Amino acid sequence: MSTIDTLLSPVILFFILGALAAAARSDLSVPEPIAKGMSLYLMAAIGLKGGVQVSAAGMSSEMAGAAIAGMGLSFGLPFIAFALLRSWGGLDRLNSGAVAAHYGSVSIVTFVTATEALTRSGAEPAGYMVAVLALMETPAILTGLLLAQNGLKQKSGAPGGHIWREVFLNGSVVLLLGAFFVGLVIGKDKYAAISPVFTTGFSGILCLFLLDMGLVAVRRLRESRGMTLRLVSLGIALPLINGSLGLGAALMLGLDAGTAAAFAMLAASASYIAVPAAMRMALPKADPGIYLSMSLAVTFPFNIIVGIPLFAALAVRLAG
Amino acid sequence: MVELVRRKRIDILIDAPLCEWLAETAAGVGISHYTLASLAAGMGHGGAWRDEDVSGAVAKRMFIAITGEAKVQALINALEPHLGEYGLVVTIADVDVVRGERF
Repeated sequence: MSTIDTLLSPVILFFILGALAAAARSDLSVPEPIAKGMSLYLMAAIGLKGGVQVSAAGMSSEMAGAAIAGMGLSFGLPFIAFALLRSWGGLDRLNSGAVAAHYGSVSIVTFVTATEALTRSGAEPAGYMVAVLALMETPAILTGLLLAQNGLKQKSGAPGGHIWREVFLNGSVVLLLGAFFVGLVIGKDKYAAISPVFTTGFSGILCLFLLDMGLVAVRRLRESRGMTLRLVSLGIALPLINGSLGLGAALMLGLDAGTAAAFAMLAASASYIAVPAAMRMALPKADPGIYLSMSLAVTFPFNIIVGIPLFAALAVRLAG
Repeated sequence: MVELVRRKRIDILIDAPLCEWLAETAAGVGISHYTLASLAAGMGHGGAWRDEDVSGAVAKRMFIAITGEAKVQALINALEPHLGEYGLVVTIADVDVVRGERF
């Protein structure tokens, strides 16, 4: 699949449509309950599909290797982001730690979009990548908190327990992993009965969801006040650095091209659901205008438009 | 003629992820009945926020409770160390309520 093919896919075109509509200040909007419903549908569909694939293929040492490498990257990537945010980005320790946590964690929507693009091009990633995604959500939050020098310390009466509930029982992760285990239990035969809902409608729903994401990303960028050109440049450089490290790790593990590309995209992506909520509670003085704008308004669009075709092409060339 | 009783109403504008913590803090000082209202969008010292933002991290809720003055004061005391860092906006008003024994 060429870069042009990716850019002209309906999913990407709907994302661009949303971005352009928001840039033109159109009143187009997707009602929040519908956006949430579509998000739940996508998590359930991708989780189920992953579980069914693993039930057919069985557990493998490759899967364990990818899981360990993914957790290692999630722990380690925030250190690189933190160093760059402090030196080039000019952020203080607190904001650097908060932003760094986002870049070690993952974006589920980026993963879903990458999976759709890779599947369409005949390089479907292994089903176990859903579990790897879930494992990569959390370690970066610990690293980010430690780097921000807040660690696990909290003022008396602060919402300490709520942070960990948000981190470990975040709705997206619960649904994704839960659907993965449902898929693992039911297997291919029983999945056939529900596949018209979860397979046939998947790409269409993803189009509408990315329309909303385009609207949200550009509106977030327009409303952000703490962003500088240097931070924007880091929002583009970090996915390239992290994705390259992820691709390198995937190649060392001997993953196939589609799985390696998905692994690279997990490393390249930045969280904008689980981590912002955790940072809001753990590091309330960190500026959400910076960490949300970088992850949602800069890195997410960059990955959708440039990152996915780039790492897919690299993975095919290096691992194909 | 329905009897009106004077009570205090406390409204707290708070980040959505912190609602559960606030409800538990309120319960800790004896305010166990409250209402949480979703809010569409706004602009504050921390910048713009809107409920439809996909992360939900900067979405806001309005915590509303009606109770006696002592409990309101106890809640403010409990929240005082966190008012600045969590950007809580707290307003208190005198209200006349019917069925005052319920508040």
